Amino acid sequence: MKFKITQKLMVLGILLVLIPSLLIGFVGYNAAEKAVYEGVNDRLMDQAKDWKLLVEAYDKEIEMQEGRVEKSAHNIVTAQTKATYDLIHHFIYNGEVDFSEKREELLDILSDDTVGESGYVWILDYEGDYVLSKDRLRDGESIWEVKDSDGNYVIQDLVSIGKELRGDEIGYHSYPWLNNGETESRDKIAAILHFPELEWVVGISTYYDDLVDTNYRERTIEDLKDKIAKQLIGRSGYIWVLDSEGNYIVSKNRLRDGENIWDAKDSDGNMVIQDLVRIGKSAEQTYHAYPWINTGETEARMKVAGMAYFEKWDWLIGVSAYYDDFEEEGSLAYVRNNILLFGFISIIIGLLAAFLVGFKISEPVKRLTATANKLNEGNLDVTVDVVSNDEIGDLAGSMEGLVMGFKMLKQQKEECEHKGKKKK
Amino acid sequence: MSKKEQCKVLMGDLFGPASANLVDSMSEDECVQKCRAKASAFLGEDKAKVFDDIK
Repeated sequence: MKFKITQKLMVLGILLVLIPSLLIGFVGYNAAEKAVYEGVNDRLMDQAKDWKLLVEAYDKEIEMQEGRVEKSAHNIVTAQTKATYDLIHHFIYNGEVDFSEKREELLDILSDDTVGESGYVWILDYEGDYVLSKDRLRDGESIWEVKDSDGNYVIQDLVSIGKELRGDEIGYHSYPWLNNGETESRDKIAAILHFPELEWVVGISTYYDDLVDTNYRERTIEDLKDKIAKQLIGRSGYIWVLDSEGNYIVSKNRLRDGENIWDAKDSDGNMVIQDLVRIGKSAEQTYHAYPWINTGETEARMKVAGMAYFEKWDWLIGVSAYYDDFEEEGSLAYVRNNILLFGFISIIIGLLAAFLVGFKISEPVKRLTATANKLNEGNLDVTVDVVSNDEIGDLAGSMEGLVMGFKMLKQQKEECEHKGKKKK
Repeated sequence: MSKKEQCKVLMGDLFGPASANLVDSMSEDECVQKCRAKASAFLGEDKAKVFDDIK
């Protein structure tokens, strides 16, 4: 294929513009991409840290509330116990009638007392025999060897605490208790009084959750989990929470809560959950990037998780998103679009410049070529109309000398021929 | 008129504008000699003698 000088110069011009443009664009885009990715990492780490702070705030609130609950239960039982003390004291020391005659009446009255839903008053002697049992059904029965759900001799503990009390002093003891017909033990609180003159240890027992809302912790944490699960990061990112064994505490939309994903792998075959747990627990806040193929997609995309670990709850809080979720909305798209725009403009300018330079070079060459072609055809009646200060000008000057030289030779030849004819 | 200007005029007359333009790239000292040599080579010694009058 035969290319003209202008065409060659235009191709050269495009290459000279395109190659630097591509190089600058490539370097610039990579730099921008790195900056954007670092920005995403920082952003996700900050969000993870913010969520950790929120979880810490929830933890504090729960602890405060539980403190209030315990205090509240304590106050209710204490008030009931004081009233019970006054009642028994009145029966013992109201001297008009002998106590032995009023004993059964007192026990009946105390038997009718309730605390919360299921609490009641009981009386034990020093040997652990029931003086007063619930609804008086087990009066006289020895319960000395009875144990609580943790296996402790709870009756012996109660009697022991009670015997140390003086006057209207109140003792307290908490213990786990499994009620008949229930499958899980519940915490019970007993306020204890001591009447040494009767060798009685009087107790008022009830379950905490009969008095106050003991599900507060559970409900509050569930609320927090719901709140976490509702967050959307970028276009498709979300927040997850894992424990150290890779169990989902909060999964996307809470659909996989409780599932163990310890052995999950990324698209490179790495144990990504194990990596996340290891890296996430290693610093106050950190991140980990990994390739991931989403359900319904065919190619892996780079995903990053900013993480923060709340040791008290063993919660690894992760904020995950795909990098490309941020590319379209961020500075990377701006950089890419500008690179394409300036690249296009540069190519247009390069083409125009190459065309102009090519025209400037090729035009005198064309005229010299036309002159040379005329000479080649034997026509000496030509003028070299190219004036230039470059090599083409030098060529034009040389050609002019040749033309004039040919003319002179032709003239001399004609003169010789004319003289020869005359001699003949 | 300088030697170059005189040479330029003579080269324009003898050869044409392209040759006259070439004088611009010559030095003041060498232009007469170079132009004379070209004229002598292509046009003959008689024509080249015009450069002998340049002072």
